[in-house]
Amino acid sequence: MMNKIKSNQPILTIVLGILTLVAVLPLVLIVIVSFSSTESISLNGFTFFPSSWSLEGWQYVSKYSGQIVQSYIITIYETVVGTILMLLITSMFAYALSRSNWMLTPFLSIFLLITMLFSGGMVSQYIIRTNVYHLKDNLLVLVIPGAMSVYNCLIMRTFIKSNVPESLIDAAKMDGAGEMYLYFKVILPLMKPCLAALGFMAAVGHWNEWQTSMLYISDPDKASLQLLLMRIENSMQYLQNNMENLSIAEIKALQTAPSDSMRMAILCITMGPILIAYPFFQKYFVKGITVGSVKG
Amino acid sequence: MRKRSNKLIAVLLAATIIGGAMTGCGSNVEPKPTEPSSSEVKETPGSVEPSSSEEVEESLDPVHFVVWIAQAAGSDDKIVEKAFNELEELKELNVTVEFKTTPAGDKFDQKLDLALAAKEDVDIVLGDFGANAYARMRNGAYADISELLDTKYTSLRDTLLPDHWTNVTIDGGIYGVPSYKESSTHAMFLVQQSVVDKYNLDLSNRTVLDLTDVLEALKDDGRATFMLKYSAMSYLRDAMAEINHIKLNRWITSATYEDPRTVVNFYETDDWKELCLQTREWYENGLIASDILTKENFTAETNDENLCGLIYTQGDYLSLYAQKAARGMDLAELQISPDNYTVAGNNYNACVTTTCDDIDRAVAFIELLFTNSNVKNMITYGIEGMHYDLVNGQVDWTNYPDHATAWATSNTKIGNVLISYPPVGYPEEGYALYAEYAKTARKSPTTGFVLDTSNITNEINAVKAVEIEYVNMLACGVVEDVEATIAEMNQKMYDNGLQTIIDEAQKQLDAWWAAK
Repeated sequence: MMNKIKSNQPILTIVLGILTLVAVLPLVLIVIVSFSSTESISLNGFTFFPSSWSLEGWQYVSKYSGQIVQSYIITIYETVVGTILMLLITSMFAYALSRSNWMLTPFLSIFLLITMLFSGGMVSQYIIRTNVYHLKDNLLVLVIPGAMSVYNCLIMRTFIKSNVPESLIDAAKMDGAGEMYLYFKVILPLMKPCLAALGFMAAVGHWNEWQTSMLYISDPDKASLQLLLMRIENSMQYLQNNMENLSIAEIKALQTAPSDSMRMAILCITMGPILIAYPFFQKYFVKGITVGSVKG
Repeated sequence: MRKRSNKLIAVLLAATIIGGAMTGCGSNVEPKPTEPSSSEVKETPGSVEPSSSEEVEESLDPVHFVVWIAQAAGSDDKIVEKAFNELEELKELNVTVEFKTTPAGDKFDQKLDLALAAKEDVDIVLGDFGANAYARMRNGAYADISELLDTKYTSLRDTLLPDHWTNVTIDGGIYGVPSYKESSTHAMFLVQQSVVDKYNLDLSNRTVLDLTDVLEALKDDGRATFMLKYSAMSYLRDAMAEINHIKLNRWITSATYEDPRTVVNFYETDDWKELCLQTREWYENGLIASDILTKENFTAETNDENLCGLIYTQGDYLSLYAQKAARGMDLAELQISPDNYTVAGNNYNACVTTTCDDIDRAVAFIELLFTNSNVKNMITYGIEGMHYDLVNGQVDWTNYPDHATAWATSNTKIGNVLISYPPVGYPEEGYALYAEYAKTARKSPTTGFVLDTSNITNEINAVKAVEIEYVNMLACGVVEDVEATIAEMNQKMYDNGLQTIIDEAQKQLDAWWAAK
């Protein structure tokens, strides 16, 4: 068996190497294009070997550096608080649902399913968040609505049922542990791989989120990073599509704007933190993929 | 030790959540700014036009409006808002405003529709545009102000040309005030004067089909020809269609100046075939860039005086001067379609919502945007000395590069352009040239007809996909068998519901003519 694997090793290495290149090269291209000059992009298109280099894309984006820093703070807040809240509340619910001897478990399970299958729609969601909870222009709107995820709750419940032995819970109870103690001291530590995997996915989701910010946040100082960068990109697109309504200054600004390299610089700014964080979560992520497949 | 660390984590977690929540958060139930009592309002002689100011009662109750501005580019919202509220003209009306600007690129329609559905404070919407604006007019989001215009705000009504009102008139009611900007336009290219002189080109009386000698001259001079990338080649289609056709929503439903009562599909006409055959010939002769399918942009050529070819521009007065001044080159005008008088450019509307507490005063506020230059200039450019300088009556952003765009939104989208300051680079006559220019334009007989697409949305989307697939390909000449491809395109469009669209458009056009 070992010999067979060893003889296939070079082929596997080549195949995996090609797959890695397929994944990595576009990222490298993005970085290179962000440092390419407009003339080079115009004459040669996107290439790994630009005829001339330039920082103009980054310089253009850096005009918004103050706003970008502010938006980074907002996005980090959304990612950290949103993820922690989701993990905390969802895992609590999942633990409660995993107790089959609790009388509310069947009712809450069906209640959960209904909310997953039937949505009230965007308008009702908007009315509830703005008129009932008054979350318009409030940073809580970025973290509260996602604090309970039904899908993640079902995964966590399955994980607890299949990985935490009933005998362990019984033993803890016999030692005098209450539900809260049990949850924080026994269940949560055992859920670490599951929490890390789902937490990472939730963090990526929060990091990339812009729709909520766009709909509910009007104060520019509270705009998330994705929203800000989308606005920078879109405002240029918008101006290009509406040239007939532009002033001289606007047209001049458009002429000098390095649109392609700027786009790539924006991509680098948004991708960077996730690319850096990913390797640290990778081991949990792989475990997490199999979490939902275990039957409980 | 372990217990202490757990407590610490719990405290940190709670602090993070609370801290996050406190970061600039607060209920959106903001108290409306303290409004001055009517007795505090100074009766200052303002610059409001006499016809309306005379009619404004002397003691008015204070009123506060939430004003949404679509696709706003500006910053310093609150500073401008404060200065705006200090204007004597607004004090005279006893009106204060709160701006809600939506940056360019945001989903303005979605945001506005949600806000209206949630009964948020939205009193006035400035710059509402396009099919969604008309949908809001039809579904009762905006108030009918026709009676106020006829009886009280006649100055506002008379400021605009009668045709401007037709687009916002639905079943006899008027649901918005279109911005007043230039009304005639034509397709145009700008070409280096040096090329015109060198090759002795006569640029007068041209159409999009008569460009061969110009293209050959440009090629011979080592320049780009059409500086249109593949996705923009439909510009040639537009230039051709505008010669004889009137667009009713899309070119698949157009009428002709000869027969404005019949809906035809432009892509089945000889005009379209003629253009495609011509562009094919140009492509074969190397007069269209051979790498047109993959070329990302023409930025390098555009910025190089020695490579610059045909710069396309919509030939209205504003953008023509803007383009010429911005390029900093000696450019000649090459008009390729007739002057068409159109109200398409006036589709940016100032509307009052039905939930507004004081519709009368909201119209009075809108009237200021059309009749009072102080109000109009501040909402457009911001504050003089902070966002721009005024040099010989023209707006100069040299010292304010960060504000090198209009404060709120483009000048043409709010109020009356004719009473605003022109930017530096415009002719001394300013916008007065507008009217003269518009006089020569050909007027569309279907002005005021707006196709309601709500019953044919699916068909339009399906046909649009076919249009996108074929139009640029045919317009840039890369297709070998032009006639067969046009036939294939039309057949595909019919397969996707073109006949249903034409029938519905014809039905609506018949009804419109009958009611006219």
